Amino acid sequence: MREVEQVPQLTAGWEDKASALTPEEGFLLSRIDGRTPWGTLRSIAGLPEERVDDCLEAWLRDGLIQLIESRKIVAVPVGELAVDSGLELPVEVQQRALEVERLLDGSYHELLGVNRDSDARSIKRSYFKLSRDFHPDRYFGRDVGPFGDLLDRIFKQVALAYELLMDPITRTELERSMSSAPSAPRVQNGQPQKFSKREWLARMRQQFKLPEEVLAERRLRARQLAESAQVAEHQCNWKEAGSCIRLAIAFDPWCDAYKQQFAAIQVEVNRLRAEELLREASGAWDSHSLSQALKLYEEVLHYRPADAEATDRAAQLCCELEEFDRAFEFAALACELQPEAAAYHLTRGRILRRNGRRERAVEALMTAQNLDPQDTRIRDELKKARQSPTRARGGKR
Amino acid sequence: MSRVIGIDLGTTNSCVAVIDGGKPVVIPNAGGYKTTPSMFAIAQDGKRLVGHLAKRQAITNAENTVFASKRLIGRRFDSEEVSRSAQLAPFSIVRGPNDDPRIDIEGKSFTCPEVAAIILREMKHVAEEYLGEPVTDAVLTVPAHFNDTQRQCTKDAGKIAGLNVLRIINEPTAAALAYGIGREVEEKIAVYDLGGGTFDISVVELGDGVVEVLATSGNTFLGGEDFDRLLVEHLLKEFESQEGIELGTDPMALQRLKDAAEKAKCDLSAMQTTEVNLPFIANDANGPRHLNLSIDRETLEGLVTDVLGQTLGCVDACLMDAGLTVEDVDHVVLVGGQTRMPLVQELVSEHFGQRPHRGVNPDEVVAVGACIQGSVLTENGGDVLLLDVTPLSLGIATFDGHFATLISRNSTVPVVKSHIFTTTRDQQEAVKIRVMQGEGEQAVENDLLGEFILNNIPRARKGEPEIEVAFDIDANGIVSVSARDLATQSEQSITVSARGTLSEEELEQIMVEHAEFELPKEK
Ligand SMILES: Nc1ncnc2c1ncn2[C@@H]1O[C@H](COP(=O)(O)OP(=O)(O)OP(=O)(O)O)[C@@H](O)[C@H]1O
Ligand SMILES: [Mg+2]
Repeated sequence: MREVEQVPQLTAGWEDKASALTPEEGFLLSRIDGRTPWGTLRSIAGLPEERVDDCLEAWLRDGLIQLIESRKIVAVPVGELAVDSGLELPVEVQQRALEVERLLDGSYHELLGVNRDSDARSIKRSYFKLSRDFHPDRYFGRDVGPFGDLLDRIFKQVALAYELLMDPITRTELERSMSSAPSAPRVQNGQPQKFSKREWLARMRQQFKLPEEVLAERRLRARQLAESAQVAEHQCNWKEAGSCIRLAIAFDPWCDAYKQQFAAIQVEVNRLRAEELLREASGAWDSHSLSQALKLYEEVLHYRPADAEATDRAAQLCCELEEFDRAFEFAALACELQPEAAAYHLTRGRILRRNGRRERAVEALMTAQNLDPQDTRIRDELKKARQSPTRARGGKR
Repeated sequence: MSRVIGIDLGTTNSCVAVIDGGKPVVIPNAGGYKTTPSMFAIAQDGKRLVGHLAKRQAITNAENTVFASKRLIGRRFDSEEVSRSAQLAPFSIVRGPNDDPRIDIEGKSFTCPEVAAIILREMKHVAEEYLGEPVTDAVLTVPAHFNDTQRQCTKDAGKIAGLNVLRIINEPTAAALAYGIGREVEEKIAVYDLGGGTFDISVVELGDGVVEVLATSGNTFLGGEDFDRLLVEHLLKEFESQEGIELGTDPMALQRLKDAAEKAKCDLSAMQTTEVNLPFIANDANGPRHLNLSIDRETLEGLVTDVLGQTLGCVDACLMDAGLTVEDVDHVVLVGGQTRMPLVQELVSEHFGQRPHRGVNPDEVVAVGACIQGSVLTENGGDVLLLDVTPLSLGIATFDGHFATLISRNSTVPVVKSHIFTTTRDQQEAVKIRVMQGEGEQAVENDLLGEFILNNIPRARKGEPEIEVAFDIDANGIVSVSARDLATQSEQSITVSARGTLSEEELEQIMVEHAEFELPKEK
């Protein structure tokens, strides 16, 4: 077993020895920059750890890479803090501070006590809560002994975590690295890193700091991959195209053209995915799994937010499931997207009727009828609506 | 611990508040007014006068009456702001030994922190009279866009006045705190503060007992004084074209005009037209002349629209920094006397697409916020926590004269940020770290806060050493900077004790002098 701190570096003539690498291996290779330790490579390569170990061992044998000493930096001893009831700081707060101290070296998510599904609001809530507990102003002028430092450190780190998680860009980056490395260490050399968003992104990019020849090689590799992606595109093999271009970006993250190509491919991939989902959704509806169908339509809308038909379907499904508020929202949206479509006004009218809003239902259905006077469904629905009782009393007619 | 007062040291008016019986109370001065003019004068008989007493004799003693000195504090004598102030000030502004502006009246030279101290001491007296006990602890407010030097000068002023300044907070933040206390809702508010000398805009988020400043922006040299100046210039021109006499050189005439212009400006907030009558304003071979002009609201509005446009530019910049648009703002709170002008209210309503919130007193709310923060700090008041930001970016000068930001403006404090730098010459053994504050891309456009040298860098080719520079701002706004060579771990650091315009010795000496002054009480 290798020491995780050892740092692999590409050897001088590595290009000659790097024959036929698989894309995954290429990606791993692109991550070797003479700075990133073995242990980190294990977690950022997107490969099983054993595969990483095997590859690196093999390359080491072939003289593709060599190991260099990591510049090890001695951690500043934090000093063991202990709860002290003599301080003007409630013992519970001291205990909480010590608990949070352990989280300082973990992920930002853990520190804030949130997870990947947490929305901005709950992130803010926990940030506010932690601030109320640990902001130095809470203990202004009081004797908090050595805890003063700790409180200060906690607050600063919490504020940084909040900043990074509230920004969609940094949050995505963070969560992406989490998925390839569930326990990606954020601690380097025993000291938590203290970077702003911008520096942090710069850091991410810095991993590719390599000599010019190597960079040229990489760019070439990236270009080849982008070409393969194009070929795959022509064959409408979008999955293949997607993974090729993704690798190209890994090799040459500075080229915007690849990112555009990736975006274009992504559009296609999304389109395919949406179509697949649509098929599944109507299948689910046919087999009466209504809530499943609704979920699928919602997912479709995620990819195609302006799809009026899918919106209308979602509205109908919500109505069947008696979730009238949401039903109405979807229906209104569908009408907004395609105001000329009688069918969508029909859906809206039906939802309103079933929710006991007779007058508005009649109004919507009249709109529908004006748009398509021949449609018998609309006529029937209108009749029903006129006869229906209203939930809130007070219809004029 | 004795009670903590909050003082809003304004350009035109100052105000003091304290928590009394669990509630913030704005303290009236001996004359019964809740605000006191930020004016200081030396009368013919050598007596020192402050507040209303100074204001009352300003016209007959124009050369020895100081007003709006907040516009000078912490600036360099050569700055544009100082020369603009000097153009219209009837008192004389001279260059001090530290290149700071000083005020010469009655043959004595006063530094700006001293003048501020005289006003602060008056506010301290007002509080002591009311409370019947001595007061030393205070929270002071400054415009959000004040830089470190201006803040430090204000702190020095507090010291000279015999106050223990617990904290300096930003005026719009204080207003937000006063507005937000006890409100149980989550909302985002914009505080638009147009006072006598400065303009500030802050966007603040309230909720869960936290007041979080999202962003702040402003102009420390834009306020009611500029409105007055524009109106004075207008009146001068009118008078000159009617009578062929230039009034600009006569201090007494200028002071009368300024006074009349301010009054006319305030009148026009309620009326459509007003008269400016100044009999015997000048004299020439043909005998005495009287100034008698009528002004309507449109004329005044025409004069100030440009200035007001600038404030809206700041608003947009601030919203952008906060990552918000006007639609995200739930309420707009107006602060500062100048927001009483109808045009200001109209422009703000139009810009935000909503009527501004009424219900805070624009003259008092800042002092109230300051005293709330005082009680939060000392009683560890469980109700509310203020998360304030640093208004200006901090960074270092790079070798090619650029400014590299380390802590960007609107970062919540306390904060720590670090970045790796390297050498620019082969075999370089030392680097100079110049710590700066400001928004300019070029280092020279920004203020230098301090500098130090990191040496003992192991000899290497340029670009190889890695030097980590860390910036730290603590809750009191104290900046410290450390630089560490990652290879050798050799480290240098400094606390950038923000420098005011007074040296330590000068400050000591002035404190001794001022301790002896007992000011006459306001009648
Ligand atoms: N009714 C009014 N209409 C127009 N302007 C007014 C009115 N009342 C006061 N002002 C102006 O408001 C300004 C003073 O406002 P305020 O007292 O809020 O300023 P300040 O707090 O002393 O200054 P700053 O906060 O800029 O340091 C003066 O220029 C004054 O002329
Ligand atoms: Mg003010």
